[in-house]
Amino acid sequence: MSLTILHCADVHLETTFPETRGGAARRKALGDAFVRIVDEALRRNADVLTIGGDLYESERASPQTFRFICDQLARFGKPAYIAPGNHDPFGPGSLLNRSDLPPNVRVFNEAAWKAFPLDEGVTLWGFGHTPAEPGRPFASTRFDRGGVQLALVHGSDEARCPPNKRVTAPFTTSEVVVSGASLLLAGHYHGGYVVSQSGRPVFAYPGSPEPIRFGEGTGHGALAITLDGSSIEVRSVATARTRLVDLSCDLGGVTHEHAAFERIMPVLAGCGVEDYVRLRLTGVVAEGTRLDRALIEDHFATSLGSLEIIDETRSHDYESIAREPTVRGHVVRDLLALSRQENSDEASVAEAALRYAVAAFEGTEVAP
Amino acid sequence: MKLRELEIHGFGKLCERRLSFDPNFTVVYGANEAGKSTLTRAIVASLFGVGRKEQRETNRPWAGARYATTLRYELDDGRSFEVQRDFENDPKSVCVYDENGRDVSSELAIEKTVCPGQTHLGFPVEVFLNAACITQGAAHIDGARAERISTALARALDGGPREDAALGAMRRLEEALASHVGTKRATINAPLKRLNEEVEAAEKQAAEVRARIRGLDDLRAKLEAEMRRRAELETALAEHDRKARSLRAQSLRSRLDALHEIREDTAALHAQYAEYEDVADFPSGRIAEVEDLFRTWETAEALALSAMQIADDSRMTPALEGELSERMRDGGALSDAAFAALQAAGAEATDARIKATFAASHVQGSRRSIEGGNELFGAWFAAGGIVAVLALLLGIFHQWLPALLSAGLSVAFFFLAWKRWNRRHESLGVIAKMQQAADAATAIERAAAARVAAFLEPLGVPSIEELFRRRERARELTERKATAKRNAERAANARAAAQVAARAFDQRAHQFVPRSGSRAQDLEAVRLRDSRRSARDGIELRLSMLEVRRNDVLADDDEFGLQSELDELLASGVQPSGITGSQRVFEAERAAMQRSGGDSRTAVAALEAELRTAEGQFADLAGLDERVLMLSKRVAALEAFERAVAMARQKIEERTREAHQKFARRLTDYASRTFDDVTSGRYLDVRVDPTTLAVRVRVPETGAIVDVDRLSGGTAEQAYFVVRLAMVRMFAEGLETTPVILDDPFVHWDDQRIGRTLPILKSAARKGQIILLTLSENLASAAAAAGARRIDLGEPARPSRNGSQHAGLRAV
Repeated sequence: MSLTILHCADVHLETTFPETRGGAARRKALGDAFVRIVDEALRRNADVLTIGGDLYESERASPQTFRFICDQLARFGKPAYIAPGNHDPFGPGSLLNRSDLPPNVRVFNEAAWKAFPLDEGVTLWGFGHTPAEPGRPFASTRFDRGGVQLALVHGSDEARCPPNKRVTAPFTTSEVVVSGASLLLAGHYHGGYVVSQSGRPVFAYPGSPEPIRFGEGTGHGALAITLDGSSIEVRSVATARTRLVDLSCDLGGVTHEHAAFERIMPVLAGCGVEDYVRLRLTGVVAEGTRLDRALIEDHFATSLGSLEIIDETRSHDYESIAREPTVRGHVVRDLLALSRQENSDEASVAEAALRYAVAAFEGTEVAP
Repeated sequence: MKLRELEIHGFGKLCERRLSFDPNFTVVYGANEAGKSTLTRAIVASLFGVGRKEQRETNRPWAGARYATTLRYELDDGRSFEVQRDFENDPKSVCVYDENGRDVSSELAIEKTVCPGQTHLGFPVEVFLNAACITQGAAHIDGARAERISTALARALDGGPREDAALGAMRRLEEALASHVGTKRATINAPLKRLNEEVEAAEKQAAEVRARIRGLDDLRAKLEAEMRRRAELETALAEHDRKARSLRAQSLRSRLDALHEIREDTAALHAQYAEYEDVADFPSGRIAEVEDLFRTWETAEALALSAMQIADDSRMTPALEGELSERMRDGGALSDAAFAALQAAGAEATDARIKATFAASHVQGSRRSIEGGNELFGAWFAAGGIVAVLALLLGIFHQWLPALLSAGLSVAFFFLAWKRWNRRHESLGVIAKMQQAADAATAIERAAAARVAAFLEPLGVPSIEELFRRRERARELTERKATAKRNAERAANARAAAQVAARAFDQRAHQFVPRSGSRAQDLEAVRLRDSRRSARDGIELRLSMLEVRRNDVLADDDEFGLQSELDELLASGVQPSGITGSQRVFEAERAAMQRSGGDSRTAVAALEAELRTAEGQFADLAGLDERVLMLSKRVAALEAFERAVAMARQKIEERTREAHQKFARRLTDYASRTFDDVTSGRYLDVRVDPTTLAVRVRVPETGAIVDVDRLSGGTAEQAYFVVRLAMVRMFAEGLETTPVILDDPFVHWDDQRIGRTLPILKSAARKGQIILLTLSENLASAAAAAGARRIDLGEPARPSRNGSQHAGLRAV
């Protein structure tokens, strides 16, 4: 018995990209990535395609989205199993609830484990999201069919939840092991990874096929799972063509705009049109140095996917101003103290307030 | 700053004057109208300019001299400046030269205006006027200028220009907010509001697209439902066709069966029809006429018999005829008038007899009454006589009272006897009258009785009552005879009618049946024939109906065709089943189903087209959402900017307020110490509000802190005076020594107060510069004695009528 499965998740068709420009291009890149996944499945002659949720975002799904999904899944032709996620839950208006889905598509349409035999001695258990939050999918779950039991779910590995990531259908490694699942094919985290125990993979996230948000990890693609008897092999298949790049440029000591451009240029040198860059400018520049954010973005963005500048430079030595026996000195002292507080909200407001107060005292432009 | 020299070319009443000031203390003496206040204004104008046009015109030289001044002063850092002002044409025309003769005007400009006073002193003219320039009766501090004065004091305290920058910073922050965020009331320049509107519009647009997508689901559901309906209709139509063929076969079979049955029924009826050949000529519908004639005859016969019976019953017998003849001879012969006269005579006799009887009875009664009355009269009369005698006897025996009573009683008896006598007399009269009446009545009776007897005797009738009875009998018999005659006539008529009716019946009935001798039998015979005729007609009708039914069953078909069709259907496997309903209904249903199927197919096609069109017309929802998010991000950035600016502004404000509080403390400290000296320790506590610069002092008697304006005018002036000196001291400490110009501020003060103030002035002059202008010779002398340089302004200047100009400056 040998079975090849291609697993992907978190394609997030029709998602939005408010952090960068070029949202339409990036949405197209997501669709292209899914096409590449199907291509890869065909190339590898995969027997099954599994999708671990968030194939699309239901709140923005349009007829075109459905046609695209149908085309790709029909193109694959072999069984495709979908466990809906929190962004594409199975419900009355869901695309996955349409009667005109290709006949090779099976959808896990409830928040409970359902089994599909994939081959002799191989069972696929699936757990779908519905509009209601599903709870812990592995709580008191025992897969008892024997043989190789694969589980497919869109959920959160509690031990490795990235910052600011919503927890949904949580589980732990031990819960997966105790359930009797040979391998959990998961979705939800956009940075892919495989968790193994005693040399055997326990669960695996393929990651999103293209990066979607800054800071979500590096693994973006699909997973090729090969079952041969009782042995399970998991391999990553990279699909991402775009990158989300978070860069920083120290403009300390810069005294004029030209010098600032010269400092920025080498920092962006390694980036291309598939890179969506967020560049943070830091350091103390000379007083009166013009740093036009829009100009910098326009200048460098032509050779990039997009560029967003976060200007955190300052043109004053706040510490020395704070020592002045003047109102300005007192104000800077107060705001510096506030900006160093642990309350990040108030601290960030105070940091901005400090910049604006000094600019106002200096008579320079106060602008957001 | 210390003023060194002022040259006045022409300023108000002063012209061509040169005044040199002591670096510390100068007293300028001059009588009223000598030009002290003009000198004060000239100093202020030299330092700060003259301001508005009206003010400039007020100070225009009277004598037509050049409207100009030159002021020389020295700063604390040793720099000297000369300010040349020409007010003639331009109030802002000023040149400032340093000690090297270099024009430094441009360096002293503040916002395009050269103002050496503000630049070198560090505050504007209104601060100078409210702190260092104290004029007669105007020592109070103008609250409206408090903010600028406070700013200057705060700057003095901080020792730098940053306080001023704080105000500017706050203004710039507000401007930045107004420019980048927009004020709450702004409608045109309101970026945040506009962004929010854009967010709202984009959200609305996205919501519309979502609604349309949801609408697509509805459309899809409709399409699916319609497709299901179409499939159901097609299935139903096929089933219907099957049923229709089955029904057709059944219909054909039943029609053929019906035709066969009709054929058999027709043959049977024709056989029956032949049995009624005998009544073929019998006219239908005549039996009613015959029966009517029979009933007419029957009724007429019954009536004739009845009339004959009545006539027989009422016929006059011979006895009755004889009695009628007899009665017609006695009572019956008497006319009604004669009988009425006879009755009247009878009645008259009866009446007269009754009257005579009554009168006789009455007479008899009266006689019996008179007889009784005579006895009573005698008794009354005798009693009266006896009592009268008794009275006489009693009178004789002088028994007066009984005699009187007896006499009275005797009178009463006599009166009663008299009354009875009178009544007897009247009764005798009545008896006579009644007797006469009785006699008359008797006569009448006799006459009437004679008349009655004379009438009845010839008739042989004993009484009027008998006569009356005989007359009644005669009338009764007469009427019976008339009735008998009428009844006989009626019977004859009835018989004639019966005979006519019999003839009519016989005539009609014998047209149809032979005479049998009995009209009833004749009628029965007619009835029998009529019923047979009806039966024959019924058979005819049924035959017609069978023909009609046959035509109905066949319609336009022919029986062989029907049989062939049925054979074909049966051969094709169609089973005529027990389906109910007519072929026509089935066909109508089929047509309706075909129509519905067609409608459904059209609806499916339309919905598919609509769905295809709708699916192809969607805006990029993700793009719209992205726009909403990016706009929201910009809104959040602006709101964060707003919060940060608000925080910055709040901190600047707090720190500015603190600075104000600090200068207020020092100002209060300086002022309290001086006020203690000026008031000889009466008032120890002076307080200055840092915001309004309102001055308050503690009243020693009550310990209360009160507004200084509630104290006496002199004390209030003293308080303001010391607060101003304190301000000047603070300016000197933090900014620049400020010359104090006192334009007769003590004019309302008593000598003791002035005496206590002079040392203070002297002390202040040591640290700065005091220029005291006064009209008091004593004060001028005292100040001079205290070390002040004295300047006498001399006689008041007179305005020159011819406008002649002084040749040169006059040094004082």
